[in-house]
Amino acid sequence: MSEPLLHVDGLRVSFGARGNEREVVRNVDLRIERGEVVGLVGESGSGKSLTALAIMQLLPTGARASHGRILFDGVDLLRLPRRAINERRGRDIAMIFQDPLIALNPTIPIGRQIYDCIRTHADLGHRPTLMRVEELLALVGIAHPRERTRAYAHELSGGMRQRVMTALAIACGPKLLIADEPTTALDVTVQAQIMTMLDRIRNELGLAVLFISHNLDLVAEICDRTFVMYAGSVVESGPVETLFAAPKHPYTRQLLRCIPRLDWATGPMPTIPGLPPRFGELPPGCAFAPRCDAADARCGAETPPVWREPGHMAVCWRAA
Amino acid sequence: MIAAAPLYELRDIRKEYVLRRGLLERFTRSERRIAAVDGVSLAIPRGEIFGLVGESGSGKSTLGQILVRLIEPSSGRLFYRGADVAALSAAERREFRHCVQMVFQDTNSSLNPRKRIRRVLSEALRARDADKRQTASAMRVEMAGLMHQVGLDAVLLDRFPHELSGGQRQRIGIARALAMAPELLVADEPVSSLDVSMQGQIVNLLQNLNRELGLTILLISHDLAIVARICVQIAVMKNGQIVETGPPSRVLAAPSHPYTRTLLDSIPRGLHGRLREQPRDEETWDQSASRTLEPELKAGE
Repeated sequence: MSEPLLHVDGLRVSFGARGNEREVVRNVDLRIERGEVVGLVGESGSGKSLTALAIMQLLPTGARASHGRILFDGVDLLRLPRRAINERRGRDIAMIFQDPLIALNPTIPIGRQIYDCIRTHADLGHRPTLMRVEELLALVGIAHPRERTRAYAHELSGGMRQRVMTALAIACGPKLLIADEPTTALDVTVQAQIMTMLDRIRNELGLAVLFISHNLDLVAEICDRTFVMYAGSVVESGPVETLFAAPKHPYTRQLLRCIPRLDWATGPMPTIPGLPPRFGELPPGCAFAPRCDAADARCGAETPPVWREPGHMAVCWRAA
Repeated sequence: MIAAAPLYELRDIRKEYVLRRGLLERFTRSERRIAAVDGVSLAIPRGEIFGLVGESGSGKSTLGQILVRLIEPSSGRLFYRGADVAALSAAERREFRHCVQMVFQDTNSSLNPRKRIRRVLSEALRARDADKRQTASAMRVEMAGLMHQVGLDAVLLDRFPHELSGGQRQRIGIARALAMAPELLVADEPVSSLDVSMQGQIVNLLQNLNRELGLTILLISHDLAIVARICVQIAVMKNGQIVETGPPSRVLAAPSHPYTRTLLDSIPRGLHGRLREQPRDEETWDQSASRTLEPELKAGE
């Protein structure tokens, strides 16, 4: 098998001083092939965003990737000097965030921000760069791109801002785009437009995408494979079709059942009772056992084994 | 069939905002106005969960704020229990304020980060008890009752908002509203900032409050699936106007307005909504692109 584009191998992220650490990402393995679209699903606090930030080397102060490797094109990003990281960020891996109003600079016109990004990473002249900015804005579906280059972030609607941020992210032709809940702050109709736009640039540029969301229905629209995270660990991964048709982990099954759907059902909505464990306060055995509808005494006492089939894995006593 | 008198009735409500742009307009004093709510008439029946659906910018949140009188309408009349809200006496107005409560979308900004939950709830109870007749112990009992009512453990009373999860904070927001013993709860996108796994819990709580306390609820949401599940009637809003209204089974099963259709088509459909089937064939590509990728313009343009 050829080398994947991204291989996260046994990643652990922890907060706190050495000796008194609290692990929030625990032993995460991810593989993304070139041009593949992969989902990362979980509730807030599951560690999905921290995994993404570790890949981008943008972990917040106090957090550090304490163990594991993040191999991108075979190079371990965790061992690279800062200068080399800065070169790769944006050129090889780029990220779009949930709230573009925070991510975009409010004092600089959007065209200038994209222009600066290109000039930083690529050896391109003034005029060709200006052309490229307009091309990028047109590619992400912004009408009248030339006029729009002079707009400020606050003058744009939420959907347009997310398009601009995507243009900024793909400006230097990254091989991997990480999209962290890119549509959560948007209306359903705009969400549908952004999903179509993401799928289009994925197709047009041959990008690999890591799509992070808490909604499996949304992930299924665009992804080939999906990882499901709970309490800092990957609990199941596999092709989306398999996860929908035959989820092996009760968490995946219960998550799927919770998604509000227009199915004319009445009465109480299905829920997952309880709350995810707080950081560093993991229950013994399987972390999901206290909320699981299929748990027995063994689940609450012993760490579950990893169940595997080709392309599909789950960490559950009941998976086999 | 004549329905009972509605709890709350809106007649031709308008809310306009003045846009001022440019020097010339400033000198000539010409104003450009935009109507956030543009002539809405609506009747909310007592004891029902009424759904108000639409995108951001459609005016649904503005309408919700007019209902609780956080903002005043530019024109039109509001009738609460048949009485004109604008003509209430001071005492009646205070009672109205108690009867109509609001639950907000963003619990991070609607709960004071420096106040413990105990203080959040006791302030609400004190506001209701203007004559200061309630003893401290009675208040403690009532706070425990409120926590129980929204499904929270009373030990959380001593926590700060940031120590709670998003779902727990939203329950506190609901408990604070319930402290006023309201008749109508205006819930503005109460679950849209929550994980899917938590949304159901809050929706079920609202449904229980409606059933057990007979609480009337105006649920403002863009999530048609949730609205269809718990609302008796819904109204679809677009550009400040109500474009369609009726029971969800009719409005959503056979929408008569194209905008309702668009909203329905936008719900993520999982495997049935796969975007990835598109071939890389150039010709098909361009067609599908022009169909699905209409450039989006900012509202008001």
